[in-house]
Amino acid sequence: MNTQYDFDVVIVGAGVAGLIMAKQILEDAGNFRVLVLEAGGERSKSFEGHREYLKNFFEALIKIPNSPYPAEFYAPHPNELETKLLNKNDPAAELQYVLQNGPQPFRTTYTRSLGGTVQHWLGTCLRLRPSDLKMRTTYGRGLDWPLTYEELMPYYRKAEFEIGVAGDVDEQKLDGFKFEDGYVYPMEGIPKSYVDSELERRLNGHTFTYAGTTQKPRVTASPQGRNGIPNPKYKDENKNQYVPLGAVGRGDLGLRCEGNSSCVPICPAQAKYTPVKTLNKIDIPEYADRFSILYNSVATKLHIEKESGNIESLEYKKYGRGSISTKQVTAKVYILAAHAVENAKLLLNSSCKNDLIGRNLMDHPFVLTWGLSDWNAGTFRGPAVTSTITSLCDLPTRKDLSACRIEISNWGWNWATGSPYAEVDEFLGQGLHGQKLREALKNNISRQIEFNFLTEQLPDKDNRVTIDENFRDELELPRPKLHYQLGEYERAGLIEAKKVSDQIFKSAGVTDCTKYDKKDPGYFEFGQSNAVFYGAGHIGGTHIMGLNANDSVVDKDQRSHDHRNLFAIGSGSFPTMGTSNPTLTIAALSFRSAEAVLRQLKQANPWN
Amino acid sequence: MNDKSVQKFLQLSSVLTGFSLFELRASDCTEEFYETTQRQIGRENLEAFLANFADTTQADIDVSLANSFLGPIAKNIIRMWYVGNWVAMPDEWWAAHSSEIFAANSTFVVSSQAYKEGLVWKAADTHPMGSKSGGFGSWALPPAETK
Ligand SMILES: Cc1cc2nc3c(=O)[nH]c(=O)nc-3n(C[C@H](O)[C@H](O)[C@H](O)COP(=O)(O)OP(=O)(O)OC[C@H]3O[C@@H](n4cnc5c(N)ncnc54)[C@H](O)[C@@H]3O)c2cc1C
Ligand code: SF4
Repeated sequence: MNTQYDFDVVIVGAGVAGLIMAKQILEDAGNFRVLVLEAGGERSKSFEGHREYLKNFFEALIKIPNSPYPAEFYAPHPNELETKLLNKNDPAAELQYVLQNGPQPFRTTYTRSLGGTVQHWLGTCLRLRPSDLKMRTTYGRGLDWPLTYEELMPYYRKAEFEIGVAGDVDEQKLDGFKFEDGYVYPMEGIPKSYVDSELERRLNGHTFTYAGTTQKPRVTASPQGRNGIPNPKYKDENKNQYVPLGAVGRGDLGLRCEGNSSCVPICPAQAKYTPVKTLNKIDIPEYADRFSILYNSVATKLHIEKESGNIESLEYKKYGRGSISTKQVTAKVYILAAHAVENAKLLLNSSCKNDLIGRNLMDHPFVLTWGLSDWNAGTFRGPAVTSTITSLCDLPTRKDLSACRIEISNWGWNWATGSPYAEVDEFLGQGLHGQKLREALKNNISRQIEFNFLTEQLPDKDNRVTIDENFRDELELPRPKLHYQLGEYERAGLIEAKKVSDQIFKSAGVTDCTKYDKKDPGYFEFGQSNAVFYGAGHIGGTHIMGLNANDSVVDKDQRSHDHRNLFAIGSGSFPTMGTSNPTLTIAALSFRSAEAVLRQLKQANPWN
Repeated sequence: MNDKSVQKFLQLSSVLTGFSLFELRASDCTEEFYETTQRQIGRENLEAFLANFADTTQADIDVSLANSFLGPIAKNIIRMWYVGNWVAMPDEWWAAHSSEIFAANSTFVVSSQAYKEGLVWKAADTHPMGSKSGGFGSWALPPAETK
């Protein structure tokens, strides 16, 4: 093997997974040289770029998650509205960058530019539960992770520091999570919203039935990756207190969440974590001679050495105005951090052999329920979600139907109906104007209660990403094609949601207004009931971790079983999803895998 | 620009939206909305529309909202004040009253400013998503009226 490498490590993707990895390798005493390839542009690196994104958001008619972040012509990304299934009679379905093969649409999205999908994340930073990592053993469903919660604990701490998590450990403990004695989050918990507290107060003493069991509604504040008040008891690895990181390019701003209520898709204050904050720790003069990041550079193919199976080089295309050049780069270790769908696309385009690549595509499919409270809930204030009802996250019923976590919306029916726009249209349609219109809107909007029931989707080999030679992107790469369906397990869990919602609404003085539209792309029926499901943007599977190449694509270090100098990182490695949002775990796994990469770099023969 | 017409437009906007002249002036959107309306439906139609509301009684407005020429204009003006969007005129209206010199019949956000000043947020005692935030922890407090 050639011993002259361009870099020690090449990382594909400047999102949270890739940038934490880059940081850990650069900060090691080994003086390793790191290249990051980023498919999209670098707008988010400057304060001006952020302002541009903000303007895009204000001026977008439909304020979907990708609305501030325009897709690059050469590095497209999907959006939630692209749910058309491939169909010979509908050419529009072929124009969607991510092809939907069905039978159901994969209703989720990601973003390709510096900072990645986290740019429009909500910021919820839950750990996975110990049982989430042992679904097969505990509930006879899904798969076990090759890692335990205990093994992950130290890395969760690192992730909570890096993202800057505000939360209340005691409340998390009551909710079944385990922490080291004396541990606190870097920042004190973000206050629960008025909606949360009122629901909690009104539900106190009430119970509801769920899949034949009796449950108490437990309203738990979520740990969140947004700046709050530093916890004086917190000590980092160097025994320092936590200092919040402000806005990119304007560190004096964004030191505390201001309640702008637009976290998805953009935090104007940048009080919410963005991976650009991690980039700023390494994009410094000290590392200038051994760290490079190239924008508008799309990794396209891994070249594999025949005998050893090791990666010899990585091909990428750099695009500019009207020009595309194809380049090669060599490194000792290659790390794919392009997120689940793009990692799979790259592995499949490189003719990697493992049949599990692209399989076990998962999400947290969710249903919404909504109603009007008979009390003023003071909606549309604060982060989208500050608490969830966690009673159904880990019950023995997980052996029969998918667990769920119930997010309480602070933004009324924003996700369900497109509130407040839909309500303005509706009342105008009724001929209201003047004082009457104003009062009707006030009366309706401030009483809107919405629940988002996020369910756990199990790994299913037939839910998968493939690539299709017949449909190519602007760089002539075969485009990703998704094969997706909710199983009985998920359908049962989603349908149970409405029954739970009805009971909780009743106890809390909320009149149900939920209506599922038969024409909605997420409409489905199960038994006598029906609902509409959405995608949570929590894409998992596609290169799951496990014990060997027969059951998985990567090992517990996220290293490929077949190509020993290749790592594929991120939620693509998750064998199961639990009910927690994935990013804190993605970050923790990056910290953990960085140690494996460093060990490998320090070996005499790093590609063994 | 015809100042008198703008004044008329503002007065009428106040009646249509249920917000005082003072509140509407504070948003500094009057001229932009007037111009947008004029660009989208033409000067003559706008003048005819304004002329129709000589003295704006409640009964006048109810009749006007139901009128096939006036109604869609009035609703669009209300919607612009409430959410900052101009919405394409209904097909029938466009067929009957448009002329070549008009801007295309389209739907768009008038401007960032128009979005941020949307009255719907004030009506609901809150702030526009992404702007005029209440400050750290403000969301934990009871809403204004139950304080
Ligand atoms: C609306 C929404 C809300 C969310 N809210 C939460 C939440 O509250 N909590 C939570 O935990 N998670 C949340 N998520 C999920 C979270 O955004 C993802 O888990 C996270 O972004 C994944 O990080 P990543 O670094 O692996 O991938 P990404 O963030 O997608 O980053 C991948 C990077 O790789 C680049 N890239 C892609 N292809 C290539 C290529 N071929 N060559 C070079 N570069 C490439 C991309 O441009 C991008 O910069 C949310 C997602 C959505 C959509
Ligand atoms: S509520 Fe506002 S300031 Fe706080 S994180 Fe969300 S967008 Fe940022």
